[in-house]
Amino acid sequence: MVTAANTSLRQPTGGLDACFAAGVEVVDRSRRATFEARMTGKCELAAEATEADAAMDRYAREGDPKDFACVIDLLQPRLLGYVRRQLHGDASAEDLVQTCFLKIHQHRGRFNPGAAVLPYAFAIARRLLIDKVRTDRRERGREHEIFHRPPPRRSGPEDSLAHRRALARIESVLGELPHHYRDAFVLTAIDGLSLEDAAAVADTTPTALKMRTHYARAALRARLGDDLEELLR
Amino acid sequence: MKDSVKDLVMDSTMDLKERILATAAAAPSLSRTATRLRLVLLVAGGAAVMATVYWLFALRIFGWQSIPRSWVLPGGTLVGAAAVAGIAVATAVGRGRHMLGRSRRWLIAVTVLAPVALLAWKIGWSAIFGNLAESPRLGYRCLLIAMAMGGVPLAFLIMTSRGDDPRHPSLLGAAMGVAVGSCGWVLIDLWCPVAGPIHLLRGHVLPVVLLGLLGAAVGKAVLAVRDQPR
Repeated sequence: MVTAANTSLRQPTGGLDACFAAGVEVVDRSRRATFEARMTGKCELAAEATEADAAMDRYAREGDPKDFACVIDLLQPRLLGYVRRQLHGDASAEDLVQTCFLKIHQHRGRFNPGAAVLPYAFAIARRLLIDKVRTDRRERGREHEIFHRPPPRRSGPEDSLAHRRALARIESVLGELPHHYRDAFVLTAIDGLSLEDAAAVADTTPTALKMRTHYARAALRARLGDDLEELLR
Repeated sequence: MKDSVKDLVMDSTMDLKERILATAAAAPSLSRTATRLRLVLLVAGGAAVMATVYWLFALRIFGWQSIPRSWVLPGGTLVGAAAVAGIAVATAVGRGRHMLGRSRRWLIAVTVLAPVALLAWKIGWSAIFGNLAESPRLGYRCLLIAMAMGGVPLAFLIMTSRGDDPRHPSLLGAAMGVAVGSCGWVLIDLWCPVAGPIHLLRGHVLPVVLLGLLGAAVGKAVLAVRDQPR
């Protein structure tokens, strides 16, 4: 991208206006590429969610473990990522995700045809997280430890150093936001849920969730500056 | 490149997937058809218990309360109350279009408005017939019958969604309590000819409220998604 910008800026020979126009074009192209990448990512996520819904529907009807395995394949990375982020890499994240899938399995017969499994799974995970925090608080008296502990080193192959640093910066600022703002931002901007799904998980309206995300984003931007969009990319 | 990263992620989580599948295989769950059948049986069982308790108390122990009145009066109150009870039951049992059940606003609206609507309809319809006179009866019989009728059906209704509400189990429990109380109201309405506001508040509205509170307390403990269900 830098090379393209340099090339485009070197090419014009028609004075400042042409140079400016070329610069704008490069910036536009870069933004368009970012937008397209995001849209492609969103489409992939939406396609995965639809596939998971269909698999879950079949599993509710027929109980074939292959369909449940398909649901696990499609939801587990996102769910595990969400839980790990909330627990800051706590070792119990996998246990919690396991419990979450077992709840889905246990109540598979109540899965409505045409319903979405992703917000359901996130809502269960969120409830289990809240219970875990409360239990830990009660048992060990570590009130602020879980949600405000600095994130430890991650070991997943997808976590590059830059990605870790970016998330660590965002998480440290997120930790200072009110819980419902943080939830709204994490579910939509980081976990990629649609407004409707995130609102269902957080038990609020899409409009209220949009407002919360907006306030969270504004607070983050005030702390992180314009780097925020770059960090989220 | 992206595929290979994805594959690596999948490999790193493969153990967890196998664990989940193994645990799921060891704990069989009901299919959709079986779950629906169970729901129907529980709701029908609750209705049968309610009808039995009604027959026992209203017909055998206290006796039928008959006063000369036009059939339009009880018929009208019955239709209105049945409509409110139907909406309350549909809200408490149904989940709408998605898996997370009714929204908080829906549940609050039904929990709060159902008793108000029942009372308003009863008073409004009875007022048309000039039947708002208070009775020397304080309403304790109505209260007793309604509470006796509501307990078991409420437990059955809560069993239909045990450990399955990740968002607002107390509210859902309260809505279930109010739904059961509303059904009880319909039956009590058939039996009790009194439409005085004080009697209605004490004997007819109070049990709906009490069942709602009971549902909220039990729902919080039983309906919530938990690591270890109660």
